[in-house]
Amino acid sequence: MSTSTFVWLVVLVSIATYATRFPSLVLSRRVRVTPRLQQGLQFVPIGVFAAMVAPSVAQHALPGHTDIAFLVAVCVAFAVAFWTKNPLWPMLAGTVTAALLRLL
Amino acid sequence: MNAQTTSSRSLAASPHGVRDFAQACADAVPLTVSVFVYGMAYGALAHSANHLSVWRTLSLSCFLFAGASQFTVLSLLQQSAPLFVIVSSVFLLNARQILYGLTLGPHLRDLSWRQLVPLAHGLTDESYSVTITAAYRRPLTVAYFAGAGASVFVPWQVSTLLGYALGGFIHHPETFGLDFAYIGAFIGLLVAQWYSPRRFVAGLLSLLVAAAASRFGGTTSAVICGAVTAFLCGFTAPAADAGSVAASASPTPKHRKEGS
Repeated sequence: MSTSTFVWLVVLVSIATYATRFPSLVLSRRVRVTPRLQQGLQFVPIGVFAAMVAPSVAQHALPGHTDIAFLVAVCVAFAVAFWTKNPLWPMLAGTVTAALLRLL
Repeated sequence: MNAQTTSSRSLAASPHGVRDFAQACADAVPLTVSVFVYGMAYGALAHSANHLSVWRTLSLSCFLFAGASQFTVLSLLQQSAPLFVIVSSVFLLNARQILYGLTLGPHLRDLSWRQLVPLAHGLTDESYSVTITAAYRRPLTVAYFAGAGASVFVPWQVSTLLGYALGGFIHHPETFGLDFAYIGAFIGLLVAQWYSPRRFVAGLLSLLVAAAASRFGGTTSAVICGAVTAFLCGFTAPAADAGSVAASASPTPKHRKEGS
């Protein structure tokens, strides 16, 4: 990716993020969000995270492209995530699992 | 950085500035530790898996300053996703911070909007948790909010650089399973969100919808369809089930890992 494209990327994602931080802080003296909308917004990250996980897992499970090491790592990561409820350990455990299975 | 500049201004203005700033840092210590480890993972991945330069890696930490979003950017860059997909994903992912602003804002009535310009940049899952908890105990000051922001911002930059340095020792990411690292990180972030049955169901539905959508429209439709599915699950939930703003205000660390 060229430098100018990357600068654009950084500028746009930063503005998009700042737009979620500043206006609501300032406007919250007047605007009230309905509880229902609040609940909806609170659930959005679930959908985005799911969208980061599912397509890649599905791809590694397709007949002909099956990657057993990857799929086992997915299962290990889910198990560790349930157990620890911390985002870091599943990443480490899954990565180590994938690495070990490929070394075998 | 921004948060620190403002705090030094407010330190002069408020007699309790130093005390409040230090109190915020102390309150944030457990979160600072997890932020640091997570930041190292980001830096290492940006270097070893994405081969970004140190400046590109650090510029995201500095200006975007949102953990989960930065992982998402790395992951989408690797998939060569178009720019608007990356930007809209980041916005959707951070839309929850609009809520944080809406709940914190009423506690910050005494601050001018000029003060809020730099302070807003320090608003994260972690600093929100710390600040809203303190707000229920006593009136919020600029120094406290600045301290909460700085105690996430500073370790995030330092750990990004440290992780980047360590990532330089990794030359073949696949052999170390690092192609899996993003997925692992997002599995962790996803499961950390599953603290009610409704959220669990929302997660499973979103996984299915996103997987199906990606077959037809790639990453773009996966993100949009996944986010809409989850939004509708929350939007249609009975109030007690979904966790209200009051519930989100209680800073249980395991609930607060979705970004930095």
